Amino acid sequence: MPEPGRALMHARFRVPSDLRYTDLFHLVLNQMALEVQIPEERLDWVTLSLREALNNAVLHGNKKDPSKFLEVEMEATEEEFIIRVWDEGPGFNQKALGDPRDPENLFRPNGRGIFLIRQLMDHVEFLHDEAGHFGLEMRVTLSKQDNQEAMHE
Amino acid sequence: MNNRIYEKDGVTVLELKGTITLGSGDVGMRDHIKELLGQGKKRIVIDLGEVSFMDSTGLGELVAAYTSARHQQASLKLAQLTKKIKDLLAITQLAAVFESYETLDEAIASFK
Repeated sequence: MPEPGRALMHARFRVPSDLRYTDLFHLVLNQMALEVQIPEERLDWVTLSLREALNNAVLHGNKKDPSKFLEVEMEATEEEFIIRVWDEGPGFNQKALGDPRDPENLFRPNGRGIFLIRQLMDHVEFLHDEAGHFGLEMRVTLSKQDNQEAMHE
Repeated sequence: MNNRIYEKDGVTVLELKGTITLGSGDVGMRDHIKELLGQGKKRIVIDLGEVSFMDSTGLGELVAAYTSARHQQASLKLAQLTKKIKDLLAITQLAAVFESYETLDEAIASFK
């Protein structure tokens, strides 16, 4: 039996910072979901969170600079599915993010991406690696029973 | 995405299909709304029944469409929201902003 917390699957991708790769990662996630049984009712929300993180990394982290890179990690343990999206930007001040539900923000056309990720995923963390790159880590708890059945099929 | 625009009982229906995400369907929707408001349309229903996926950019486009319509004294309503889009509107509290209807006929009838 795998040890608790040990990665059963771990995929890492590095691509130029471009929105055209969002659909690619959407497909990768949906294929991995077949193996690790992300609860069906949550898969669309995990997919949405991944897309929001990628869009954020390309537009804000890497500031639409195509010479920069994105790194995406997808990892499955017995308990969790984890996505990390890395960009080359310095990150942002979490406290400066407004609540899009506040009356003064409600009619703004933007500012809902990170909010949605926080609402839809079980755990969200902002990371910095040794090179100073910014990472957004998102975790979703897996259905243990479904996951074990999928792994043993 | 093959969107469709048609008139029914004096109401303009914008039927959206496919995904409305950053780079896919978002600009098309914005252009349609701009065109309809430019033509002086005052009663608009966006039919979302065939929209398979929407992200925060899509939500933002809906908000922008609503705001543009209000500025031009037009009324914009939503019809046939999927469960996922209903959930997104609820999470973001935009459900309180939009007038939305289960069916297209109900949305059209609401203008009478």
